[in-house]
Amino acid sequence: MTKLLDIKNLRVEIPIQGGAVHAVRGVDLSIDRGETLCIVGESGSGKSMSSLAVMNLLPKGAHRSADRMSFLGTDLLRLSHRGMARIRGDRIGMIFQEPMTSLNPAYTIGNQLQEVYRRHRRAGRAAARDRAIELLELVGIPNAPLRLRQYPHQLSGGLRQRVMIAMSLMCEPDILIADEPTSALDVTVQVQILHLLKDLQTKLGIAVILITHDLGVVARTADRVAVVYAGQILETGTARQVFGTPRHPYTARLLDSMPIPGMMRLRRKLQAIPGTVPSLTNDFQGCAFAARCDRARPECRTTEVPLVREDGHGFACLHPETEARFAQKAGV
Amino acid sequence: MLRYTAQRLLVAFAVAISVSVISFAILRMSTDLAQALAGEAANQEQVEQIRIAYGLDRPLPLQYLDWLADLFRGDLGQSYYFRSPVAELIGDRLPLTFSLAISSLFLALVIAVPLGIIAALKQNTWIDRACLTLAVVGQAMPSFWFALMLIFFFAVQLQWVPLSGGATWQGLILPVVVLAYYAMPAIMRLTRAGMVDVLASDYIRTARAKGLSSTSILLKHALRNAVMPVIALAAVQFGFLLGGSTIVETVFALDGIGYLSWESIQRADFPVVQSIVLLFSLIFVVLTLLTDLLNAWIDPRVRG
Ligand SMILES: Nc1ncnc2c1ncn2[C@@H]1O[C@H](COP(=O)(O)OP(=O)(O)OP(=O)(O)O)[C@@H](O)[C@H]1O
Ligand SMILES: [Mg+2]
Repeated sequence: MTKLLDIKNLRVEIPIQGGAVHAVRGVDLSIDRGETLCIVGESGSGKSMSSLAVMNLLPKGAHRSADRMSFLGTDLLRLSHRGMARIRGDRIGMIFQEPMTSLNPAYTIGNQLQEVYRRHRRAGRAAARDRAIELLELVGIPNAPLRLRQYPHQLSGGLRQRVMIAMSLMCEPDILIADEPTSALDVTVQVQILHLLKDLQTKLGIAVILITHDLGVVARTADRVAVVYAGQILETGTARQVFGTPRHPYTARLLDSMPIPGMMRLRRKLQAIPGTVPSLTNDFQGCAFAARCDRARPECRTTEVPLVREDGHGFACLHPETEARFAQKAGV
Repeated sequence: MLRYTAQRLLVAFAVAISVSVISFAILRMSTDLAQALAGEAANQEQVEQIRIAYGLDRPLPLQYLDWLADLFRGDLGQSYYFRSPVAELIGDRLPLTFSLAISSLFLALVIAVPLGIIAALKQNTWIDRACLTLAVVGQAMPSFWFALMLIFFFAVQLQWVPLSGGATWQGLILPVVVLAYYAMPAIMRLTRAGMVDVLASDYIRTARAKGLSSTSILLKHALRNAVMPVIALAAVQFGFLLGGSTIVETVFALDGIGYLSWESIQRADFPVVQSIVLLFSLIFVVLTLLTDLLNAWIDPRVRG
């Protein structure tokens, strides 16, 4: 079966004064129907740039390249602007980190929901309105007909994010890309929105690419996980593989650095990762994490480290960890 | 929207009252009206007679009410110089100034707004820089010089339009061009700045993520949010244009409000000057009100 989305060696460069930021450096991603792929990593690791590159929505001036970027067999790299616009909002939906500013303040919720359906489905007003009400109800917004007439500023952040989700699902996309959909929300609302996403996914069978720094979320929702650092994937595999036996020291440090609900910590104490993320403006040699890694040897700083796979569990490390870190808590 | 409109109306009314009080006070403090009406040659007795005849000996608040009542009857007093009603003087010249203002603002908007949009879309390209240059030249070039150049080429050399005067519509072409070019740069730069801001906003990214057409993104989602400051600016400029451009009216020998106010100031014709000041203060009040209402209509957040 062909992959829904298949990306090989994605790179993104953003020109800045006197050089370029290499925000994404050779990322491979793929996702199957109905699957949840979580992308985790610290701030600035290139998560947003990777997803924006797929949508061809990179900031002005930014340049993307890849050996391959296909969506259901369509080559996204070769697609015209028009062709890409037909896929966006219809086959691939996207929601963002900033629910407060992602809706147009000048138009009603109804207008903004209906317009995407009318564009892709050539539907009439009445059909689009019915569909909008249906979706608002689906994402758990009561009193939908009233909401349709309201403006974004009349809604709370949580509600606006629900509207964004409804909007991205109007045309039943194959993939929903959610770029940190909850980081701007209150903790209780975060949980609600994540439950909603998980719920919708099972109901509608869509594939979800969920970008987050919250490992708890990953542990609970991911089928597969990709751990990114400085624009590269350092480790990838099923949630069980990556959380149970992390092979890359960065993943291990990341797991050591935060509590993860639903998982039992074995032997180790909570610990922050020392050091800082390397600058992305210059090209460095060897492993990106070497400077902060306690397992690093001289060769880590000089040789390119390829991603090796064992049983679909991939990691880019010359001296991988072997120790188990977590076990699923009983009854969770 | 209804509550907002009522609120704005109330504010506008309060401002209008204050303006009228100030305007009244200025006139009373500028000269002794009785003396002015009686003329230089009058003796003390004649002046006092006039003072009583015109009610100028009464308390100031009463005089203000009288004056206000006159105002509502369209009586703005007598010009010292022309010895004719001020309302008539202004009424005669207003149509000319008004058509100049309307046409030049329209021309400025029609050119500057699209240019501002294009400059924003082609940010930091030669197109953007060309638009910017046009704006800088427009802001730097003195109106009278530009006017004289136009007269020289189009009226004297090519003889496409009459040399001066507002008797025919052809005579208005050059003054409209000069005024429009004067109003254009600010509108263009503000449109560009607004568009640049809006195009980088999250909701435009959302619109693109929805796969909307470029036309819809630009005209529906971006423009509406970008033009709000432009509307306010256009209203202010319209106010200035209605106040009459003394320079342009002088250069083209147009007998409009600008020319009248300039001459009246020179002649110390206070009733005329004061009426013009009052009239245009009120026009500004009305324009501000309209701007607020228009912006509220465009932006639901303003309505509250
Ligand atoms: N417009 C831009 N100009 C220059 N550099 C940028 C720009 N946008 C992002 N970057 C850089 O690109 C890198 C990757 O950014 P990206 O937004 O993808 O990170 P992220 O993983 O999504 O982080 P976060 O968790 O904070 O959202 C960062 O180092 C950032 O500084
Ligand atoms: Mg991000």
